[in-house]
Amino acid sequence: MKKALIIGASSGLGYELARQLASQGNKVAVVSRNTQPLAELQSQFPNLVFPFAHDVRQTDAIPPLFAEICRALDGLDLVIYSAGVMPAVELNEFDTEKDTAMIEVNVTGAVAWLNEAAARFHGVGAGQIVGIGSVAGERGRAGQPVYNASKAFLHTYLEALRNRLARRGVGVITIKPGPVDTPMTAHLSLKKMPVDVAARSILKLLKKRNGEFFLSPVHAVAFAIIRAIPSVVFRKLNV
Amino acid sequence: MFDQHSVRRLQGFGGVGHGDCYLSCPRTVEEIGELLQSASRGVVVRGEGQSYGDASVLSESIALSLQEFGEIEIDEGGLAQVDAGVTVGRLCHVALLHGFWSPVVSGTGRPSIGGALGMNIHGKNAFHAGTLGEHVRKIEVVTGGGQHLFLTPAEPDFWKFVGGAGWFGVIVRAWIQLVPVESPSVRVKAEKSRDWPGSLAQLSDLGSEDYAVGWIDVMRGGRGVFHFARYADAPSATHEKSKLVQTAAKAVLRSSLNRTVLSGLNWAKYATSSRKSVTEHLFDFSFLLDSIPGWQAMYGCQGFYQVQLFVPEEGALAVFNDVTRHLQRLGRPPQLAVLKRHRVTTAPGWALNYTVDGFSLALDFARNGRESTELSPLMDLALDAGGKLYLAKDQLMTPEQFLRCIGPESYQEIRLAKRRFDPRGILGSVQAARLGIGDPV
Repeated sequence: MKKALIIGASSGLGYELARQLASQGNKVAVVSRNTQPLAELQSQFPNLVFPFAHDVRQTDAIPPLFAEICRALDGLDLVIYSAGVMPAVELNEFDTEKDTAMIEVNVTGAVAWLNEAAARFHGVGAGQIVGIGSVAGERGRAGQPVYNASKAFLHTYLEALRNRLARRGVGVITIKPGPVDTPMTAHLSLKKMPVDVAARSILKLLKKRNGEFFLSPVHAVAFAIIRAIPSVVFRKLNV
Repeated sequence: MFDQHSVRRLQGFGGVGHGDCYLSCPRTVEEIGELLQSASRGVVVRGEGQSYGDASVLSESIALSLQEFGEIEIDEGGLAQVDAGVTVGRLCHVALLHGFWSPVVSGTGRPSIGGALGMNIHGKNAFHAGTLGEHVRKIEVVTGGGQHLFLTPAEPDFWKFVGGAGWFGVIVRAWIQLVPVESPSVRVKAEKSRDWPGSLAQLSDLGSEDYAVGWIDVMRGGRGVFHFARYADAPSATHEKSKLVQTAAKAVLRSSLNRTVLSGLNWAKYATSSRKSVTEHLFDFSFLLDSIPGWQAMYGCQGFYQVQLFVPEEGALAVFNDVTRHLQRLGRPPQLAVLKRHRVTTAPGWALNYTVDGFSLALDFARNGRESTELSPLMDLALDAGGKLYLAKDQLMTPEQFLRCIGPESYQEIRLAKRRFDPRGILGSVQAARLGIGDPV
């Protein structure tokens, strides 16, 4: 039985990951501002799901809450940071307030939670960290400057954690999903991966212990090409 | 009252199971008291983690380590004032410089004095020296409730801390009466026995021997090789190492420990053992395997269990024959089997007393996942014969077996003492919870 913590578990990938982990008999602490879905999960798995109300922007609250969660689970093996926001942004919109809110959730919250996880796992010499990044972090695109940058930050931060923690036996995985059928992408008219399929793929990837992964081979090839496109060309493309 | 980033994964010596604990290393008695009084989660008292099982592990607790307490002072009469964080090996090293030796030592020098007293260890001289606690003149402790006490063996509460498994408080310092030695040497003589009756006979009349121990081939009817040692009167210019056992252990490290290898090693140990008397250094004789770092790795990465059965003399032969039959039936040879002679402790009112007037048989088993069904019956064999089990070697005892081991009166005494010395139930361990001594806060 694994003891997992999922931050951002009230909807989308986080919720589905928690549901699948609990259905496999693992103990899961679920963290979110929105506690109603967490309570629903707990009612489905009363002895396996432990809900905690928390807004990831309240970083001062994280260390004591992290300790409380470890105690409730009687240990910790896996931490998944799945919290993220992607508000709709117009092409002529430069709203610092909106962007700051995005950075607080996607970047600052991730660092605050995963630093706690990294410190603990470094101490015990075991454990695994998973960060939910995005294909959107692969390039800076016109449509979502700060969302793209926040995910690029997360990818680089996780890579650094991976390099720092591997020698202590700690695994760090970066997941780069494409569009997944979740409330966050409801406003996007794209082909989306069903959320249960995405969550299942992520849980399978835990066996790899370390690395960066796309959820589809098509994305892996496409984004290898996209990354190689010179910036001067990329800005003329509608991708 | 703990550093959240001080979390460490802790295990017992056997390497089976683990707990992630917040390591706390107070520097003063006052800090220990404050920690115990303010702790909002369980506290497990942790020495050097040399108990074989889960006695010093408790997941998500504060692991209270006395590693900052490391002073030793020895007076002319050999009374040693020893901090709890000092290891048995270091005490012996310093004692030898003063012409003394620890009255009781474990089979490795690695346990801390605090841990050794918490478990009230015995050694290869248990047949005359009893347990380490019987040589302690005074202890300084902090109870689970934060009370700072000095206790002597004349006070019954002394035995709640010495041999109390850290359930009632923390031993901070002890005054131990060392034994004088003329030299750092022992004269070691070997004998052989052909079967269980012969092995028990080897340890039945030990006369003026200082140490005695038997290495037993349990699967071949209890035949064994015995080592008897006496303190040497004069220093020796040279010391012979216990070459046979060390060579065998090194060979084992390089080989897989299958049944054939074990059988071969046991045969080699038996066949090559000589009756010739040799002079060994006290360290080599006492801490045989310490010179092979990580020797327990030979049992594999899954760890191992040790079961030590204490059996009264009158029932010993029948029990050990049954042990042989049980293990032969299972086809599960122990990787190591050690026979020792014991006397009953002179400690009055020691609730967790494991000593008997008889023998103990310690059996090492590499973990295979079937221990509770395969090894638990061995413990029942000892208990059926009025025997005892030993918390320092335990990871398998059930609450029922524990109750049978210590008896209902002692069990009740422990519960009452727990309420008295640790009213908030702060102190605990996986072992304590398993044996029904309260779940910690």
